[in-house]
Amino acid sequence: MIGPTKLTTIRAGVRASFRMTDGELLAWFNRQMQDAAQRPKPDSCAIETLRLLRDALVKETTRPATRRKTRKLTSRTKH
Amino acid sequence: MTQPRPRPIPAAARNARQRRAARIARRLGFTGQVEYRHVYSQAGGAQYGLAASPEQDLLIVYAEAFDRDADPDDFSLECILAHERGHQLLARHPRLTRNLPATWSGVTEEIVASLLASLLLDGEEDQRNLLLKAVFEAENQSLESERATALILELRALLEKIL
Repeated sequence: MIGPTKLTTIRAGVRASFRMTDGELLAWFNRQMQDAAQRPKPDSCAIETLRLLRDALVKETTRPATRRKTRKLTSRTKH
Repeated sequence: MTQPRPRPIPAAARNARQRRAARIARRLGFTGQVEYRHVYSQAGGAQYGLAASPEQDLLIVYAEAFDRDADPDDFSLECILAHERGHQLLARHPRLTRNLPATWSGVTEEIVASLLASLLLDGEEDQRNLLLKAVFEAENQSLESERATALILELRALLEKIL
């Protein structure tokens, strides 16, 4: 079961656990992505996961809002 | 104490919910029965039940799954059902059952179910939300955020390779 905790509470909890400013957190994620990309065998799944988490935690507050991608059949964008 | 309860809806709306839940579950690869129940579960919105055979497995979808789906600040129905499909994969997928520990704590299983769900869905918003859920569960196990993130990266890469 996915549990009753609301998504906004989860996001706020995870964001607060990284005791960094938005700028520091963005830089931290970017560094991790760079490290993963520079490995002899770049880990594409790790890079994608880091990008998704970075966007989940810092995108909306540190970057200009971008239009969301049209979603494929298995997902639905909420408005 | 008065328990929250779903507002009444007509039979046609209940049937529409049943059809929509079944359609999404099938798209996610769920095998077995899908049932919509117009009650509150107090546990998130859906529940997977392991049966004697995959065809008899049961996915129960509750009213709050649709309430949450309608709330822009909460999980989509796709996320909720993909998480349950993650539990089914953990129980049924031959390579997963062969390569992953047989006895995991409930919490670890919840983390893995969310990670599998994030691999099943294509939409980035849903993927992000499921990853947040996985990190949140890991942090609830007293892992620091950086360590929790490292664990999530490692597990997700492993699951992607296995699937």
